[in-house]
Amino acid sequence: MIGFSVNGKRVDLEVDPSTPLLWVIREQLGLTGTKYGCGVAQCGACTVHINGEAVRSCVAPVSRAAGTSVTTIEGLSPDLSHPLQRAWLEEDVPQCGYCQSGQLMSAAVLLREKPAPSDEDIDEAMTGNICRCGTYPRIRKAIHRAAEMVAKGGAR
Amino acid sequence: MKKVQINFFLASLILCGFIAALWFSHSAAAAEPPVPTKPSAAAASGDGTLFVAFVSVLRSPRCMNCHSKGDFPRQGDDGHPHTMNIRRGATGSGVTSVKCSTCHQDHNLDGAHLPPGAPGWRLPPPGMPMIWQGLTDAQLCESIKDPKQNRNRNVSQLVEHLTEDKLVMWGWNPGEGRTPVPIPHDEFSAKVKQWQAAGAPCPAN
Repeated sequence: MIGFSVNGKRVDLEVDPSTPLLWVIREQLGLTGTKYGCGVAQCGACTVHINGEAVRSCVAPVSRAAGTSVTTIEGLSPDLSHPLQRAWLEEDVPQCGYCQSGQLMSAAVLLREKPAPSDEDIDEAMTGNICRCGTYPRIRKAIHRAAEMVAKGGAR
Repeated sequence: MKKVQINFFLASLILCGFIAALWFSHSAAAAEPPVPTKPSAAAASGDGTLFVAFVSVLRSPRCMNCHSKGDFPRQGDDGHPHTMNIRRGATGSGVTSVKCSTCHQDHNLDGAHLPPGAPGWRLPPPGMPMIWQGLTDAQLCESIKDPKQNRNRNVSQLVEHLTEDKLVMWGWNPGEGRTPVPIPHDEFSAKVKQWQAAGAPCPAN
């Protein structure tokens, strides 16, 4: 039995400890916003937070989550009110959208640690999240816009 | 026939001359007291060869990929910069949403091209980056012994780090597709402890 919190809700699961966290999130918990991309921590589509830190859930065994707090894209905010989600909508960032939950989860850690990130900060933080549609310029713009929202007290 | 005889005579003469020269040189050497040989650089500094005996492990890509120049880790046996432009960060553990623990676990993952891992997976911190790349054996030896460059370890703690630290031990079990460090662990430990017992001497520059 492995227990942890997912988006604030306690879960206890009978699961092989070596099962990738991503499978548990998608298949057992039904939270399909987190995507499977490469399966080898090369693309970032599966990014979630464990105790607030970005983690590639496709390679993290569920045992790593035991006793922790896991946040998925569904838990970033209850109503799309996170500054990044609002900025993403305003900048119309996604194209196909497949990578975007991972992009947002990485950007959320960046913004928490660097509320006013430079382009270089964004490059360094988002380097592990690949977008096959090439939405990088809009991602950069949206992160700056979200930072402005936070600075102006617009975070809800 | 006469020409053959002359050639034989000349060859014999040369051979005799050579043997005579050898005899004279041997006699002369035997007659003189032995000239003390110049002490080797290693002997002059204690016995730096004890360090050189295991330095190949420190110079292995498994160690050097995190002890190289620049504020980024390296990968592979060729030491290429870590893909994705991974950075050292303020503590050696990466930056913001790309920390070492974003992809690396506390153990290797099965399969090629999957992130390797060990407890404490990280680079040295920027304030003490422990860069070994480009150092001579002597410089490397002095560097790892220097508490200002080795996280305040004395020699005993350094030896413990080299022979027991789980992150260092990973070098002997680096996972699929990575060449382990070149000396078996028990042999390496014995060499390190032999070096320690001799006073941890470093090679001369």
